[in-house]
Amino acid sequence: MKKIIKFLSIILVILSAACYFLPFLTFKDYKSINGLSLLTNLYKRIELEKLSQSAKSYVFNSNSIFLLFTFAFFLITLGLLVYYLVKKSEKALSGAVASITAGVVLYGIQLSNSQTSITDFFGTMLLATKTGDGKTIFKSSEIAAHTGLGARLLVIFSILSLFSVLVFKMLESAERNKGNNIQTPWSMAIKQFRRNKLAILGAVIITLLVIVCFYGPVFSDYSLLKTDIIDAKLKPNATHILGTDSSGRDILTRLMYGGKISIAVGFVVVLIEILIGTVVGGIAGYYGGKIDNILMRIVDIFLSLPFLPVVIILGAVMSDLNVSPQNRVFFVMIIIGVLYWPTMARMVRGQILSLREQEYMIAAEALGLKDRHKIIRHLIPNVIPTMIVTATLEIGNAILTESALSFLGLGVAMPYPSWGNMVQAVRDTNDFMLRSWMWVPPGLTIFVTVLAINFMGDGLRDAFDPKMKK
Amino acid sequence: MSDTLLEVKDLKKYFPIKGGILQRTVGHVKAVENVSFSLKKGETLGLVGESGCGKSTVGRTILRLHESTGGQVVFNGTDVFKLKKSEMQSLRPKMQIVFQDPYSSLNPRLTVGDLIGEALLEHGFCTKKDLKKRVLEIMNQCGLLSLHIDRYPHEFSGGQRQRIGIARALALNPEFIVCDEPVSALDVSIQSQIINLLGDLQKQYGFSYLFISHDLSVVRHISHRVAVMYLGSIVESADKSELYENPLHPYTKALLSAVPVADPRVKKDRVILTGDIPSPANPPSGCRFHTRCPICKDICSQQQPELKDAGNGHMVACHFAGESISAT
Amino acid sequence: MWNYIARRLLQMIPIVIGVSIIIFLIINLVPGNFIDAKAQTSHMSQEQIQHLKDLYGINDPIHVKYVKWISGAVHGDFGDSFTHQKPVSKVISTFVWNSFLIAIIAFILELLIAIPIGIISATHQYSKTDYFFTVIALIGISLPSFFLGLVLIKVFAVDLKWLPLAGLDTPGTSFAGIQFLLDRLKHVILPSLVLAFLSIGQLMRYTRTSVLEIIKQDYIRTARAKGLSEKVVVYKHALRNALIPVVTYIGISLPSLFAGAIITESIFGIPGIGKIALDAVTKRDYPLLMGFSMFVAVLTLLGNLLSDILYAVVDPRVKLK
Repeated sequence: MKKIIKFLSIILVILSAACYFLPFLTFKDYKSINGLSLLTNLYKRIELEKLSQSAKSYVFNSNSIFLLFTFAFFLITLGLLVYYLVKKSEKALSGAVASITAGVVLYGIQLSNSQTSITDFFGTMLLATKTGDGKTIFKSSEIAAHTGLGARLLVIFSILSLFSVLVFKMLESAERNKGNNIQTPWSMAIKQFRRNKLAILGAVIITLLVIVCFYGPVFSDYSLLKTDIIDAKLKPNATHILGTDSSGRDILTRLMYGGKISIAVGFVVVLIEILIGTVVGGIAGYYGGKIDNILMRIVDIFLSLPFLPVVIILGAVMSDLNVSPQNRVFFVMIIIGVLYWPTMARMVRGQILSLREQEYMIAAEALGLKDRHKIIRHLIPNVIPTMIVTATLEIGNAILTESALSFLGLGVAMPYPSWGNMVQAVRDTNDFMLRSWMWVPPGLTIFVTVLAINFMGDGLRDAFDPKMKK
Repeated sequence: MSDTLLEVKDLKKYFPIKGGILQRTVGHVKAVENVSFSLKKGETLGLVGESGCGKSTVGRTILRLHESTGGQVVFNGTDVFKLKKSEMQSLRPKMQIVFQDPYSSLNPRLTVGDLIGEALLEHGFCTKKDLKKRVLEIMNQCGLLSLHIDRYPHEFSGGQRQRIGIARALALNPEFIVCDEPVSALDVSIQSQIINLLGDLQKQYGFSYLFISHDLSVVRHISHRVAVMYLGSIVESADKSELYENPLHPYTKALLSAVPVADPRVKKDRVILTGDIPSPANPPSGCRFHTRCPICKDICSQQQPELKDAGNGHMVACHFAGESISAT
Repeated sequence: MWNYIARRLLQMIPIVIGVSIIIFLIINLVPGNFIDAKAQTSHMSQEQIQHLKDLYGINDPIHVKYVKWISGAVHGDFGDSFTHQKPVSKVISTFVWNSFLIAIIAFILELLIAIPIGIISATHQYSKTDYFFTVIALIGISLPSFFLGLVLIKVFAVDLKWLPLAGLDTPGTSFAGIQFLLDRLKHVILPSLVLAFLSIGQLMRYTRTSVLEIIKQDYIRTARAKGLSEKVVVYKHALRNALIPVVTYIGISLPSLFAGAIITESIFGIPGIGKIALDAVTKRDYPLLMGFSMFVAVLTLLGNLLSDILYAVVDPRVKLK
């Protein structure tokens, strides 16, 4: 079994690198551009070869820098895997996992470039026109384009190789630790988590969703924002799997982009929550006394704020201040984060208060350990499990809040999609009653995502909670 | 006086009780009231008493794990309570503590090696390179196997965990160790192992112990001198054999009569105390023991007896020390 | 006990003031005001506009505005709503009962369904039934509120045509007596179901957790060992203790029955206080917004207080300090 995985990993990484020889962008009247060409012509202008005399002159300015790093990481992974085969170094294998992960993540970042047109994934398309006095000026322009086979296959092969290398590493570690039987608190928690079928299901669903939303757009032939009234409100069919919306945009594509935004908002909000909440809760819990009193009063004030009204008011404020649609996403993240951090602060403080009285903390004091040492090595590792559970569940909450806000028109604004604002289609009563494909899929995806997150969070809570063991 | 390691004078520890609308301090739990004793190098002082009499608080207050409400502790000539925080931290390695509960006194997320070694590193007693060797040395001395060094506390039994706790205290080369009921949570068979370990370590390193316990037979085995506490004050203290053979305070007599003897033919005069232990927030007037004392007279409820020497360093605080208390 | 209540009420005051300041600041971040907005649609001369602005104190500096507001608020006068042309307190008291109707039905449903299910789940831990109910509970807390409402409307009102689309009463009718009640009920059942379903999940899990904790205790084992039937053990001994946290939950929830549900009411067109608040945001009706926000904030704090008091009443171990 291990041998199969070993060779599979290597083959998959080689295939991933090989994708670069295939076309990444194909055009209607022009020869396609392949991956290597994108890399070797970084920030240089590639002139598109015309396939017919009448075609205009286009140049493509590649800014696929992340693609270059991705390629480099594939090669590094390959090298490390081969090194592992020869020298059996455990560090090489860990390095391989790290570098393939970096490669896949960077590819995802590259693919998040696109906003309006297909070519945007990898660069800018410019129309070259000669002016009267013989000079050439370049204007941005759109031409009929699709993402090429290489770009699409790269998604498949790179993700498969990531999983393959991960499985390989896990098998390897399991074998290495067979004799030892060391049970760290983390490994016991992971074991408990694995027993929970719902939690595993949740984790799988989330992973699939993230992959589809962040890498899926590469497979779509439709752009995010381009409207086409002729194709408006089409029922789901062969070309538009989920139909089109009222402006003729493909719903499945917008669902994927919307997912990127909704999931990203969820993560960033929780990040803000963790940063502010842990610091405030930690200080309040550890130092106690007056500091604790003041900080907790502030937390109480925030927790007493009627949440939805305030968020809605802030959303309206954003509209009135004419915040541009692109920037609205950031503001939404900040607003929800700022309103949610007190929950985390309360939780962290509570944990620290109960941990502080544990005898091993008094023992640490008796040993003469310094404050900083006590906080970092004793308190924090014992706070982290609860923090992980709370953070996971809060991601779900954040996604629900953002979608509610966007549904009311006060969050992410059109034309940029978010799962919440796509449900706004119900404003047109006819669409609501007759064209369910326009508003049911986004609502359903919110539900499935949050449900999967809650399954996972529940499983994590059971895994970390010593009291729940039978 | 040069071999006196620790001198405790009139130690007081009160815990405030809050109440009322503005949470003002409405009273105090007088956990420790005017406790004084001294400890020589290499000596073990046993401190016995009922649960709640304040003996654990004495141990912790001496180590400044609670801030005292009054009194003085002089360790090797240094006034412990007057030290600044940083000075206190450098003094701590010399005065260590072994806790009662082996389950909550070890951080579940650290390995045995980390638990024992972290203080060594922190105080700079050992370099990173030599750390593992030194930790293994200490572990072996305490009866732990070398392969345990990477294990986590939850994989050990109570007795083994207590060994880890002792090893942790040992690592810093202390001179004084407070043993806060170290065997109360263990099975009887294991208790003897741990007591013997403590005794062996004392012979080898010359530690001084303050051995706190409610179990008189255990204390008898390991102590050189014994002090009896009741409701926050010491009522009697003497050399071990003197106390067990010739107790003078009625409370001591009652405690000793309750110790089971493993011989069914021996008939004992059990002295059974009436009533419950009073609340330390509201101690009785005069002699604190008078509400339960079988030989209580009028003076006992009016005047608190002082700790006086009844001969040969045998201290007792009773107006009628030495009088017989059994019903005739 | 009264000491404690008095102390808590005193502690609430700075929090309420803090909340009012924050909300006031946020609301006043918005540029533009309702008078300018109105001026765009109706014809008013500059003098009239200026006069109205002075009347409503629109051009005052912010701390003056706040002081004016809070001196009224302390007496229960929150000013007049711009859009309704009535005192804010009157607006709230008129519409709050519609919200209450929906909320109380949902609450009763919630209690009747969630608590028994929670108990059953706990007594049959790890069984298929437990699994099933856990999934249902998680579904309840994962559903976006607006989506559930929309789906229910689509299914029951549009496709099946069993229930009306929106509103509180069927338009153009004036029923009385039983017919009025039935009509009202038909309109109210869907929004109540939505609210109930969203909260059932949380309450069910909460009940389950607390019953589980109690059942594992030794005194329950003793009761069983005495030979008591499982029913008696659970219902007589365990429940009384396990329901303590549930009682505190009820305490917290009671005041929020008056706070309205912004999204659900908007989707179902119920003229409750939640929908009024949303309209107030879109129409920039500040006095109403301030009044509503303070109303909900005070309700939240009262809920906390109530649940702490109930906790002390129901749990003999708890002594309020």
